[in-house]
Amino acid sequence: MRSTFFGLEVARSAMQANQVALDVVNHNIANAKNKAYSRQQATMAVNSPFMMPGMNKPTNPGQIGTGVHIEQIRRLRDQFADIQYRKENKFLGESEAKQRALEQMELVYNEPSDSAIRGNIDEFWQSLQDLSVKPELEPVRTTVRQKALQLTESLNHAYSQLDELRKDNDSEIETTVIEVNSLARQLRDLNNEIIRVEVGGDKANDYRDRRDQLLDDLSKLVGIQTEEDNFGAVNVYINGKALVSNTTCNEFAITTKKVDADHDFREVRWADTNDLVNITGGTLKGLQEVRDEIIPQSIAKLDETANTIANHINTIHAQGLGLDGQTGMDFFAANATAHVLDTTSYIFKGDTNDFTGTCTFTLNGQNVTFAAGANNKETLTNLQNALEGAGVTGLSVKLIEDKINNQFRLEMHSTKPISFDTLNAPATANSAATLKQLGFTSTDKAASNIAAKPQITAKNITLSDEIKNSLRNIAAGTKPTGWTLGTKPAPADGTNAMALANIKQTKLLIGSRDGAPVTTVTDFFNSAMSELGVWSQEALNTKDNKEILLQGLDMRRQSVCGVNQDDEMADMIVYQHGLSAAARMISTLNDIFDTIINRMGV
Amino acid sequence: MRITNNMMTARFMSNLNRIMNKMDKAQEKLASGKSINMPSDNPTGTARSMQLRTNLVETDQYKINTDYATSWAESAESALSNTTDIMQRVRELAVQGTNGVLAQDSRDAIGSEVEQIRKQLLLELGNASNGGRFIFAGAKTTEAPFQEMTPDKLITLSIPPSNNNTVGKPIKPSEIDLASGGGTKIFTIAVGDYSKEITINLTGTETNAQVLSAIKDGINAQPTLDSIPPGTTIPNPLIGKIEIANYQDKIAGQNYTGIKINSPVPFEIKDTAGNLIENSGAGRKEIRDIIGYNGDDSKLYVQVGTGNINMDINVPGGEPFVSNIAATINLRNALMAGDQTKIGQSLGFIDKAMEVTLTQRADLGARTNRLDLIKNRLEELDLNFNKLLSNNEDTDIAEVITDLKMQESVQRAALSVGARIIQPSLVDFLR
Repeated sequence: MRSTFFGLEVARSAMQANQVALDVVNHNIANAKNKAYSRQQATMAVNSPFMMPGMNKPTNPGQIGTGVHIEQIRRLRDQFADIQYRKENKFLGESEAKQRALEQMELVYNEPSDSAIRGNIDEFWQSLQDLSVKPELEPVRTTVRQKALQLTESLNHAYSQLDELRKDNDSEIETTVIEVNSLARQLRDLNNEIIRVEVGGDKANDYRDRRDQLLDDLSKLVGIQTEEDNFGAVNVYINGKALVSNTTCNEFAITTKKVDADHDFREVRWADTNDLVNITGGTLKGLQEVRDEIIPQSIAKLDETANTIANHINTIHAQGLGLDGQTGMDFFAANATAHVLDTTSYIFKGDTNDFTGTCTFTLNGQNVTFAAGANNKETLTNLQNALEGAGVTGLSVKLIEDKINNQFRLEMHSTKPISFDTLNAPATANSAATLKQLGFTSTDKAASNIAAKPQITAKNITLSDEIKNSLRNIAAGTKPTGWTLGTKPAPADGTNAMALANIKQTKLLIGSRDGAPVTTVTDFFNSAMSELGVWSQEALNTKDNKEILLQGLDMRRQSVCGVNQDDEMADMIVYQHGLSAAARMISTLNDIFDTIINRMGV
Repeated sequence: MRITNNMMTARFMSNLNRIMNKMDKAQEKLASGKSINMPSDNPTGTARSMQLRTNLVETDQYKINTDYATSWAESAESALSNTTDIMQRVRELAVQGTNGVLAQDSRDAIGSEVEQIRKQLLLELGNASNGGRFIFAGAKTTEAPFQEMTPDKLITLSIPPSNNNTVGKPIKPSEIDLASGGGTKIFTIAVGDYSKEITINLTGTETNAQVLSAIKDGINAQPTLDSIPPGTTIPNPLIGKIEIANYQDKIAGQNYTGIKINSPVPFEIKDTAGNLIENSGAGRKEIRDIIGYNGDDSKLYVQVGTGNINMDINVPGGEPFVSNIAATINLRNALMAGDQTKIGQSLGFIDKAMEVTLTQRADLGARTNRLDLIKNRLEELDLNFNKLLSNNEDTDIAEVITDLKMQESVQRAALSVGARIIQPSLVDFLR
């Protein structure tokens, strides 16, 4: 026997279902422009039909449907497309970082142009040519010095800009790591939320959208693999180790490593185990590669250019004669930081006396004599005075005092390489032993623990002191056969200047397999620029290609999860009609009840 | 595939962006005129561009060098052409001088004109300069290579008064050992490789004055320039006369008498065994030293092509001036001496000198021709390099503008299509 009010419930369920469906459509329309949104669908399912087999089953024909309910709010997302997208995204991140850096490097060099390094080399060559023709004229010499200075300055400048770029990329690594850590934390929190919601039976659609967005962002920064577990949490792995695992996350930490004297670079490690993170993709990899490979390779070529020019010019210049017969001078020099005598291990107590007698030695050709004092402090002070009075150019001596322990040591700074010798000075009883105690551990010049002449690089190349001091020192003349010390060259003798100029066109650099030089300096530099162009072009092409690829993959994703307004409009009409029909049904049922209740049997 | 509005908009925007990128590149090429603005635009083209620019700079410098060489050659040619003209005049004067009827006064007058010409050759033409540097001085371009000779050295042969009847050892500054006793004493006065033996026969009883007088006579019979042909390097003449004068000095309270030998050229006095007794000045042994040439033999070079192609630009060593000056001196001396035969001989020397001058001028002419050819070649090279550079890195304006136009139309099409498809939706049609 059918219940009187049975149909009402069915209609009511229809209205409710349609209203919920409309809400979902509403939500979709609202988020139509939201790129991170995946469209949702209310799936309807029939209610359990009436009647179930059993003892008390009514005898009416059955089963009768009891209406509709919303089974779930389904989120439409192509997970496979997501995985593909994130796999490609790391390549985009990497190539973007590289392309940006390479473009900036191209701007630093600013080739091809007439005012960059190549132009400066050529102008220097021109000035040398003029010198070979008119070596006795002062304006010509001034021009040589000017052009040389211009060349060294442009080399210095290029180096410092590349170095800055390197340091910028390095600090960018830190910024990126902070971002990765923040994303990891957010992912962990979202995992938490999603698990809680879904354990209760609901679908955490919007949280999942948010999480997918974060995963997209993270995949650009560093290459990740993702895995969803049964509870709805996503585990994020970086080369096997979990960055986010269920509701915990292992963050990155930054440590610094001293790569060389001027560079402290950042390393990315796991915060918990302090192992280095094995980064195989993403912006982080790009930044690391720029800092550790791309820029250093370019700097190495720049250095080789500077070094080759400087060394060969110096060799030929030293063989020539200046206007007053000077010879043996360098043209280029390394603007090195001071040469320091390492005396950290030679510390003397102030109140004891470790020295006796008088000691004499020569330092850079000057005689130095000092006597032992009543205690070590006095002895060292005597030595300091003797060194300062000896007239060695560019030398400065400091007595370092450790007041707490009453200890002293001597520190020597020099702008030129220091070499000392006891052999040429009259030896006194305690010379060798005393010097050894002071930190001059060997009387053999070659084995002294003071820095040797530094290599000339693009960073430190500059004019030598002799050239800076006097134009007459520029050695344009050649030594004739049987030359004796002090003989001046003829004023118009510019043959050495010609030899200096010819360096530009001489094959100096090793390029062939048997080690014979096949490249001139300018060819070498030109091909370095060409190579830079190739790298940059390659990076640009790679970036463009990856962008197009990602766009295609994104399209594929959007095809599934994107909101089509027309779609939603049509659905809206459908549900609206459904709602209207259900409402009409209720009105009809109302009339029926009215008839039954109020009009029947009255 | 299901399409959403977002997808269509995204695709539209990305394609539009691509077109804008291309248009931006085209605009850069047009505005800068260069198709290679960064190495990445064309890597191999960049290397070629840099190489070509270097080549242009080099060619430019070689042109400058060539011009410099040409200007030196022209200055030298001008000096030498004047020399030829002057020597023509000298020749005329020489011919005049050979006229046997002329009085000595007239000869002296001609002689002094020749002397003036000599001065001009020496001081004006020989010291020609280009841009403040002396072109005939070899590598010593800062000093004038030709200078007047000044009297050089005084040699004192003195005999102490105490040995009145014997010839004793002269004291400073020189010593001639005229041993006591008689016999033949021979000593030589030498200038470079040329020497004159002076023989004095002493009996041992001459007075100092007689000895000195004998030495004077011996020295006076000296060789003169006119016996040595100009242009030869070895035999060295003594120019003019060596003056011998009596010389008195008080040294350490004692009186000395002696001979002063005043010569404008360096000379040596050797004894019989060939040992050097006195040497007035070392190092000047050739005609040109005597004439007063201070330059050297160095050639000066400029580079006019890659691969060490060097061109010498100067006329070193003092020729042809040395020969010409020597010829004028010869004529002057002959005229002053009034020696007819020697005047006649001097014509031969003048001709020889003029020949030397002409040879040098021919060489200069050849050099100038070569420089012209080099200059032409360099200008052609310049043109070629510029053309190659332009081909390599300059924008082909027509091509880029056509390209730009095409992209513009693509852009417009994209915009209009995009506008049409992204606008309408179902909402417009629902009532």
